Amino acid sequence: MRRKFIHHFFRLATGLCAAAACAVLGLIVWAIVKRGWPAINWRFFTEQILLVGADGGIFYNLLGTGILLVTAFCVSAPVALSLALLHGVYLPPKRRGTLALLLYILNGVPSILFGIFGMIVFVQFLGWGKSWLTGGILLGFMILPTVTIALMERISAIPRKFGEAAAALGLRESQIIRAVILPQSVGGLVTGSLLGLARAAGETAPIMFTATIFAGATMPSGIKESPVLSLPYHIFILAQDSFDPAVGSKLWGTALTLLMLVFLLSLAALPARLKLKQPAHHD
Amino acid sequence: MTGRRRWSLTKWVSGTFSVFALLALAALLVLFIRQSLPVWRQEGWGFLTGKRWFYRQEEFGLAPMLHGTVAVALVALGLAAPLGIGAAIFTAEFLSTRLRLIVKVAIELLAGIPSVVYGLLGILLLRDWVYEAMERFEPLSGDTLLTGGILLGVMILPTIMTLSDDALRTVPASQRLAARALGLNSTETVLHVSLRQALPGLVAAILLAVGRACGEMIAVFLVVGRQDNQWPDKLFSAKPLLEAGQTLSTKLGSSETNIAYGDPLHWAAMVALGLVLLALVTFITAIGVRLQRSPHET
Amino acid sequence: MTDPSLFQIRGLTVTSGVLPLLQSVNLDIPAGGVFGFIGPSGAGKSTLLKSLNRLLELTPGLSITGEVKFKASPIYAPAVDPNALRARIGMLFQQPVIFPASILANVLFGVKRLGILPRRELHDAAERALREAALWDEVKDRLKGSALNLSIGQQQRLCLARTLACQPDVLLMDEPTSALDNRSTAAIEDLVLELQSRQPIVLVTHNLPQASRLCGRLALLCAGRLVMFGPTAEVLDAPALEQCLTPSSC
Repeated sequence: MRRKFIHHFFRLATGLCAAAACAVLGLIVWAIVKRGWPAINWRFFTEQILLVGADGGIFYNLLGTGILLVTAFCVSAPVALSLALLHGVYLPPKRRGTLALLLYILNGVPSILFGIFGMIVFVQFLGWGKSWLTGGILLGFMILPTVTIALMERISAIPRKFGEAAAALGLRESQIIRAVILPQSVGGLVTGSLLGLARAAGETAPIMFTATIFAGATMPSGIKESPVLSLPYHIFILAQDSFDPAVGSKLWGTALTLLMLVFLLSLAALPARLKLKQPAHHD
Repeated sequence: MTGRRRWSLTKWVSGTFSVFALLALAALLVLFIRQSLPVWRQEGWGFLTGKRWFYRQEEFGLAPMLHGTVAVALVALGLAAPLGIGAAIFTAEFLSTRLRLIVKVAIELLAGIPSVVYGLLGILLLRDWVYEAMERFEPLSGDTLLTGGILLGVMILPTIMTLSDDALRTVPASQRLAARALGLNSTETVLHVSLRQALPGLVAAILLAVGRACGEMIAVFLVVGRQDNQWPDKLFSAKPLLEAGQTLSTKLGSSETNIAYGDPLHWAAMVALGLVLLALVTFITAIGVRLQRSPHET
Repeated sequence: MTDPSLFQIRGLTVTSGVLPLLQSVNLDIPAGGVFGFIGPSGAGKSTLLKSLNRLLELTPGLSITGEVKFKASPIYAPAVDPNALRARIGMLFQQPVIFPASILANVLFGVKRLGILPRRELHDAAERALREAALWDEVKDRLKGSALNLSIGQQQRLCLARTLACQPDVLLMDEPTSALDNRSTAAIEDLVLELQSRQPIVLVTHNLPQASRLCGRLALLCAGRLVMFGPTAEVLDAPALEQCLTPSSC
């Protein structure tokens, strides 16, 4: 009897934990959709900010976030591919663990530190001031571990026989990489990049000192002193110092837009991830 | 052009990019150490233990911010660890495969919510809730370490849950089956087999989440009050939780970072603060990663 | 109205999706001696064995229909607590499953938690079980040592001791020697012959000499169907056996 009681109690308690976790997600999404939905219409996406966020839309914020994400992808993809090849092909097995550990540690580095780093190197030392390129580079570096690890997993999942078959045909190492490994790892690059970009899209800390401003920027035309607007920084600034209801509505609308963008990116990456995480079981 | 050429173009290109990435990492570390030297020369270890930070008087002490970081992280952990591990146990051990998938998707989404959105929810909702719930303790406002901690707790919940779920999944099915064959029910199997064996992984999950909590800036920034020099009278009491405070990362995110750049000593103090944060988070993360990947027995 | 059968299996069908693993098996397993299941791999021997203690239903995605009676009471009836049932039916797996803990903790792993013995009797129960599994002399000086340091043969006997400590009414063994070397196999086989006088044993094996050494009666399975059953000598001589074991027929 005591055993049964403990069993039922334990199952109930853990079940409540799981339900609570899901409820939190539901609450957050509902809270944002309820407040943000009224602000969303076509003009909201096509106009620029007016009256310090109280009117107009977030066109240039969307554009800016888009520019940052594309840059981040262009920075992270080649580096991640190189590191993954280094890990999967060139490095002796003993060193692989060190590289992986380094990536996990890089993944843990607080994002504000990337911001400070970017401030020292790009804003001040190179004298770029606030620039979209700095933001893209920093975000690219931030998501580097995510992309690289996804690629590494994919490359190590390539059956050995593929490589052996190619080697038996007399292909050189570089030819094997181009003929076998790269095509097989495209999926990993896509998945990892989507996941990384989902994270990068919402990051404020690395770009607030280095790449983004609240108002007045449009399409950047150079590198030096060419900041962009962005969705997260817009929310960050408005959240701090405005209780004007009109601003509030636009603010929640921006939050909803950002949330949808992030969800879309992570949902797009999901199918591949779930497949990878659940290798075929048979009993 | 022979087949024996050892440095192919592919190898050359990928080697260059890799070296570039590692150099950038090294540069980050070197820059942080070099630029922080002036303040270490002036304050020495007192930089870590000093209770006062007044940059106009050129006094730099981290202790209140360390306290704020630890307090916020502990609140977050107290909230997220039991909830996250409990939820992970339920999804990994009791749910059918399909339901488990649904919960996992929900948690992945929860993990993806940007911290600035959490901050927004914190500033416009949670702040008031905390203020109302704690009214009888008379907090000055809803901007407290507690608010920051609760918000962080929600933010690290998915991290703990996903990593705990992974840890529980590494326990071989044969172990569970053997326990069930002896007549143990599923709860006893979880308690005596799965949890025991997944313990290093669960500890790793907690450590990695703490690492994230210590470094998180934006969301905490918006609700923690950012009050400098809040060193509590009694170190181990809950009272300071209801006061505004400052953490290492929120200090770095404040406008003081922009002000500091012109003044070498002040800037050194800000960078040194970043270095301490980096060391703290890296230390915690590294232990977590090592635990997580320690080979499973049997 | 006394029933001499230990297990009565009627119309037992197990399917995984559309794939049939067992097809309407009818079989009586008598209440004494060693009963063996033989057949090629994939014939459903393990599936049949695991359906006897309802361990099968822990594998997701299987549908189980038909009736199994243990000592004349239906085990798939709604009122039956499968955990209590499994506690009465001991089981030994193909690979020894050792919990990462001490030898003593492993022996007592089940019996301690089932609550069938008072706490102060546990140590004696451990000794008794280890003696029954012929392991006592080898481990009595290092009961607190890690069980993972034992050889694989010792580990399998430890698993046997762990099951015996719970004092089961019957022992199910799923190819218990297929992972072991010759010497350990002989040790387990000796134990099977010794233990059968105390409780009935149901043994799955793909090793025909082993079946003839240990089992009083055999059931031959092929592709999820029960082909024949009867006294060991009869089954081993039957022409059906030859057919069954040639790969093309299954």
